[in-house]
Amino acid sequence: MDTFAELNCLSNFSFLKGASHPEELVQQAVALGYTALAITDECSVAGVVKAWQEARKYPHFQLIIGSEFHYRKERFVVIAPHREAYSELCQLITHCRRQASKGDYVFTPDDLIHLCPSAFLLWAPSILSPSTETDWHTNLITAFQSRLWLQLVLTLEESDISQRTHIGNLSLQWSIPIIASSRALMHCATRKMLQDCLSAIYNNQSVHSIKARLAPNAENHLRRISRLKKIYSASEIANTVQLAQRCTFTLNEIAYQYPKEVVPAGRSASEYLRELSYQGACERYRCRASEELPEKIRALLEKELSIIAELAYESYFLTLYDIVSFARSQNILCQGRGSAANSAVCYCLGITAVDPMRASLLFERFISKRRNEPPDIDVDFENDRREEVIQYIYEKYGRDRCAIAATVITYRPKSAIRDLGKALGVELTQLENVIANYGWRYRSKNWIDDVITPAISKDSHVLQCFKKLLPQLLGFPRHLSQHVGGFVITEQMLTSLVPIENARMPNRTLIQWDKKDLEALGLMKVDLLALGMLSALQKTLSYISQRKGETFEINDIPDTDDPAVYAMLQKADSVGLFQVESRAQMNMLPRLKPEKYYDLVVQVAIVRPGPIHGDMVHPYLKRKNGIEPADVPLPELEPVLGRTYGVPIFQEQVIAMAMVAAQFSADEAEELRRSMASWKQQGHMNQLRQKMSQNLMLKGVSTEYVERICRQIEGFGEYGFPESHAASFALIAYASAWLKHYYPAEFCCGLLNSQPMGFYQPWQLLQDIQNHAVEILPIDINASAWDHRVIYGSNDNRPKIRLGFRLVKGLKESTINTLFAHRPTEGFPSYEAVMSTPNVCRDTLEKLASANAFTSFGEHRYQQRWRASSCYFYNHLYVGNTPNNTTLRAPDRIEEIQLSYASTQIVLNDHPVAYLRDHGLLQGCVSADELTQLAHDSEIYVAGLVINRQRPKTSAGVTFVTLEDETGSINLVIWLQTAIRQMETLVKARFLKVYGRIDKDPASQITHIIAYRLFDISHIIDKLAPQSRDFH
Amino acid sequence: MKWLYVYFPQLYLDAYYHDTPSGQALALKKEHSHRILDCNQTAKDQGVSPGMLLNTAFCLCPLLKIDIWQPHQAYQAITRLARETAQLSSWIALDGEDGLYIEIASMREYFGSYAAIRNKLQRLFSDRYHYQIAAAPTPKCARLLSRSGNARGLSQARMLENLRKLPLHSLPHDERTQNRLDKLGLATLGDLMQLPTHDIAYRINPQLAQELAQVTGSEHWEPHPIEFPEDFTWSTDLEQEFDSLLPLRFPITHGLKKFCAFMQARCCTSQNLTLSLLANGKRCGAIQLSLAVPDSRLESWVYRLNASIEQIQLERPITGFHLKATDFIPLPRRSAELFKNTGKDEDSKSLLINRLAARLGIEHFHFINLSDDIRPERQTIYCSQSPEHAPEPDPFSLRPLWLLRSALPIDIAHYTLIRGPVRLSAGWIDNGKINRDYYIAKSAHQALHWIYLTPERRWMWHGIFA
Repeated sequence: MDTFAELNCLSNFSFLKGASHPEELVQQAVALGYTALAITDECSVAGVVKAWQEARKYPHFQLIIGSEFHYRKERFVVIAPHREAYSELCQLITHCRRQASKGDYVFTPDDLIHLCPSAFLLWAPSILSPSTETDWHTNLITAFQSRLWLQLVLTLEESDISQRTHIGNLSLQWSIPIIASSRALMHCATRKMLQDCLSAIYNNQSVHSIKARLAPNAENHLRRISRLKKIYSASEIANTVQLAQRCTFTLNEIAYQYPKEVVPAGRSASEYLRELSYQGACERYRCRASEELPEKIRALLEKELSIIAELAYESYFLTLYDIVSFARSQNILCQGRGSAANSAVCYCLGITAVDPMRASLLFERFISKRRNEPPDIDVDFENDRREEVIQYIYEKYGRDRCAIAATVITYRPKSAIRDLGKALGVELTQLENVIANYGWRYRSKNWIDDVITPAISKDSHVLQCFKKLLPQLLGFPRHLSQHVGGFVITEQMLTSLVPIENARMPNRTLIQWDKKDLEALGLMKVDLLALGMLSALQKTLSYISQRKGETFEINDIPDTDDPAVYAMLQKADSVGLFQVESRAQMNMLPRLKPEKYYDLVVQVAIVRPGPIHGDMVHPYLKRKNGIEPADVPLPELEPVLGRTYGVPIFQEQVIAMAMVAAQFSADEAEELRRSMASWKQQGHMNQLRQKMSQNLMLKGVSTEYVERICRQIEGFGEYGFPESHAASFALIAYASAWLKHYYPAEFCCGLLNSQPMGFYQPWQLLQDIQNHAVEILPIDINASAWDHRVIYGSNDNRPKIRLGFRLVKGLKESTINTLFAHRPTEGFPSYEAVMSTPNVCRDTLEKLASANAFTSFGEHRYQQRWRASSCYFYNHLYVGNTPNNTTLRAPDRIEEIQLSYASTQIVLNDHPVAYLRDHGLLQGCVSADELTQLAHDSEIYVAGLVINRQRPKTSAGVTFVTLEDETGSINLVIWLQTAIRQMETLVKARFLKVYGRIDKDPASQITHIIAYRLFDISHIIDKLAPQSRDFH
Repeated sequence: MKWLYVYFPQLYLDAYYHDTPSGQALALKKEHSHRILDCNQTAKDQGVSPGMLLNTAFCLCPLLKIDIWQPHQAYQAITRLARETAQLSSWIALDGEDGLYIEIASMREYFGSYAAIRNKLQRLFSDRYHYQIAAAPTPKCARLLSRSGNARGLSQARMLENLRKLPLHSLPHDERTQNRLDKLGLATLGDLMQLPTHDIAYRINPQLAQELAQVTGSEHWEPHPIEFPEDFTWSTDLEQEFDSLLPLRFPITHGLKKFCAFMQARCCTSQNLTLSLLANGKRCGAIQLSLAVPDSRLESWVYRLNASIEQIQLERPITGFHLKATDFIPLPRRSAELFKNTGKDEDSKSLLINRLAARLGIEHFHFINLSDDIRPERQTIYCSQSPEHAPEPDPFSLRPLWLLRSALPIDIAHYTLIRGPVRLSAGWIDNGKINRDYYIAKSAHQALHWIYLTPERRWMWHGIFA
């Protein structure tokens, strides 16, 4: 018999133990002529799906599923020969994992007896300290009887003889057959170096210091059969092969069942879905009966329902509908995004918000018969309230039937360099130096040679090892983490499909498979995501409702084509708005000049690497603004590109171009969609790239245009927006813009009470809203609440914002609630009254005093603080004594600014730059609002606080810095050479003075300053300058 | 005034890096910290500053060299300075790792004036260290003035006046206290001194109130003087010149007696003694007498002396010698049992070891230990100290009694394989990779040999079994 089956193999999903990917193990086993391979990761099946996908390429090769467990010095391998045993294995793993914290497990041999009535068991007893617990031995052997084998692992070590003797004796004593195994930790012996490093990383030491714990050789790999025959007896090998032949289970047998609760009794899923879809359609289009629906909608619904029925996805939609309905019943804002927004059924069910009548949807982008994978719907919920939705799901389906999907955290360059460096004994400080100084964003394909240099280590051998091992370690799984919001829900017990383990967060559990595994197996996953803006919108709506005295909901926002709102957007007045508030977006708004909803869809998608890399932005702008005519490269592309003036902006357009113009088959188009990230690489994607390029050029498309398309695809690979996704987001962007325009105070309040979120800090939001003539009232002990509130003037009903206590650093809501409980309706009459409030401590009073909350009692901050500092002493220890009435001086203006900032991170009605200007310390510096009066190319000085440093990927080394003065923001452009020459100032300065040239776009009047010289003037106001948000 | 305070802002760098090349930017950090602790001027010129994050420092100065600040070295540096300063006052106290209190009231009459003491200090430090000196009636006041760069000496009368102008951060306090001070608008010591002491204590920080009282002298405080560990020193002048040590055996032995008596009186033992040779009062050489194990018995030291005295050639005649020992180890506890365990005569063993070391030379004397390296030729290591524990032997390991210094090629036809293979494939980490299949084999002469096969199919003989 010239065949073998390895029944105990750990992949790299036994984190930091296995040194090969599951695919490599399968490939090697096939290459060696094995008939079967068991992937038996430690207390896990995290790697089996990937192994299964690889094994499917080899019809006669058998993949066996199992898992390894350790108990003291004994080792057990549970093998699943059939479906039922696989369920047992999953439940065993779940049982062991759920008893321990994340990443660990608790296992005893008794668990095998109780939980594995039909699984097979391999037992590797210890020879070092044979267990004295003979009871469990006996019980185990009795329980498993004909399902038990002794595992003999001979790896040419000095203990082999003792092992063989000990196991031989046990076999004779208990009549247990012996199987042969290498206990493979890697697919080939050359991985030993990496395996040693993984052991070092696992032990948090260097390889050198754990030499004694490393295996003396590399025999724990998939060995040649001829080699194995020299080591093991024929009967041992025969036993192994026979055992493998008894294992017939494959993951194909996992049949996913949708939860049945979502379909009412006596109805079919298909029928129910149809009913709900038409019902929803009637509500959406305000029709009394389905016959009144627009023809286009009815056609779309029928088409989609037919495909859904054919693919049997009804329950998926109904499950989502149930979740979204719950959210709506609790008044939780939610909206579907991504490719699901292509679906009319989703729209009618209320899952998504993109109206098919208004956008051109591509249902096949969402579901297609060809793709044979379940749909993937992402739904955003209010950030603050997503947990309620999650708990609803847990409650409705039970923790045995739902759990969060995993995300596999893999080694990326920096983490790999750090861990490997430590394992190789490299001096870590120098390593950090190299990591910090390397331009990661612009790395070449030879970046390993650029990074691993003698700057890290003078030992050339260490450098050689580093360069050899680093590419192997990249992409290795490091640990499992929970997916941001991917939930798996099943009809049957989830643990009969996949094990569940504890997540880091309390009360959270996750399955051991990630999104790709779930897709491969056809398991349903729903993504429940959190969006801060939805929380902010909900709060805004509630404030508006209070103002109006009647409910105002998101659906009450009128149509998406209000010219006044677009006028505001065209002026780039978009601070706080969803998706269009960043600096790049603000630069684009006056150029793109959105006038209608679809323009906003483009606006959201255009400032992304895809269109930028493909040089599609300028042509689009020129055509939209009528500077050049709209044109398509080929007539057949008119339906694809017409709506964007002939310029491809979205992923779908590029895919459609590939199909329509470059003759891509549906499969090729699907592959293109999936694999845009690998467009640059050699291999199959390169062939697709060549096909696309050649076919387009054959039809007369210019080479230059084709190259731009290819670059655009590269950009999509990094970050691309499907049109439906942009369409969904544009709806939220419009809603936020509408609310800001018509209810600026309420909108600002909603944003402030939903922090942290968005691009801007609270003080920037407040500054912006003051520019919209909304008055801000300071924190006051007698007028403020925990949240910021909109209050209305008694005379003019003009809204003002009263700042809330939540701004005060270090203050807790529970503490303030105590104060509120005792605050009289007319307010505290005096400081003493506040101090007398029960359970209010000195610390709270001091924080409030520092925030100037007691101004209404007529004292300045220092004096308020002086009073607060005596609270405990005079109220508790020396009640009845009079506090010392020392009078402290009042803070001067700059101290007020400093104290206000330190306490609340905002300064009302003043600005450090205003202070400096008033004191003549910024002679010759132009303010932000004065810039609009100056001509292009003027050379000037400006100064301001550094708010933002940004070095986007697409900027070729240019750094964008935003300064702020008392009148607004100043945008600086710092070219690479200028940055290099003045690196210290650029990096360290919190207050900059800049000499530069005005660069003003004549059309949009957007103004930048091209910086020539930077001056760090931070020393002028040392304590004050805020922390810049640095994006790079 | 009564007290001087000397502050050394860059003591660690001055003490250990004074010969760093001028263009080399250097910074210190504490172990496990990501912030710069201190840096030299070259680093500062490129924008690096204490407290800065490492990554920022590297960004500004890519060639910055980082060394780890070692607390014991910092302590050694300040202690060394304290010793040097001890010639000026009998009361020297350490203040952390960068400051010295020096009591001068009692020494002023001896040296003549405060200025004279100050000049002596400056001569002591000026070439080697950055420092700031101040004098004041109270030690804490002197400290405050020195660390804030106020170098003027102060009489009691002017002390308060000058203290008032100092910023509050001159007083040592934590961030929380500084926060409280900022939020009350207190910026200078004068602002603080206006407040009643009990108000400072309960409203701000009781330790701050106490510190202020100690600075102003309203509360008495004195630093605890440093106690220098005793060294053994003994010198003798000779009546004539000697150009060999042989005739000096007896006077040196006399010195060794003193040395051993010193150790026995203090219940300690030592391993190293320096014999400095003097010619006309000037040092002209030194000989290190070292034992393999610490010992306080005269016979061990005499044996050591006798073993080496004949080999020592003097470069020039000497007129005196000086014995000095600085490192002492407390004697291990002795058993109080009446009937000691026989066979565990540690005293005889150490005597024997020391004699062997004396005969062979300490450089040729090593203890043996086992390493955790599986490569046979690297398993045995030499070390200068006796290992505390022997590593646990591998219960399955069958190793030969005698390992050949280097493996020799053999003809396998002359061998009968008995056991094996055992594959050893390790050592890639230090570029000493081995890949060998070891066997136990019987040679033609019926001896049991340890042999191995290389990947190139060469057979090598590596050891012999007993």
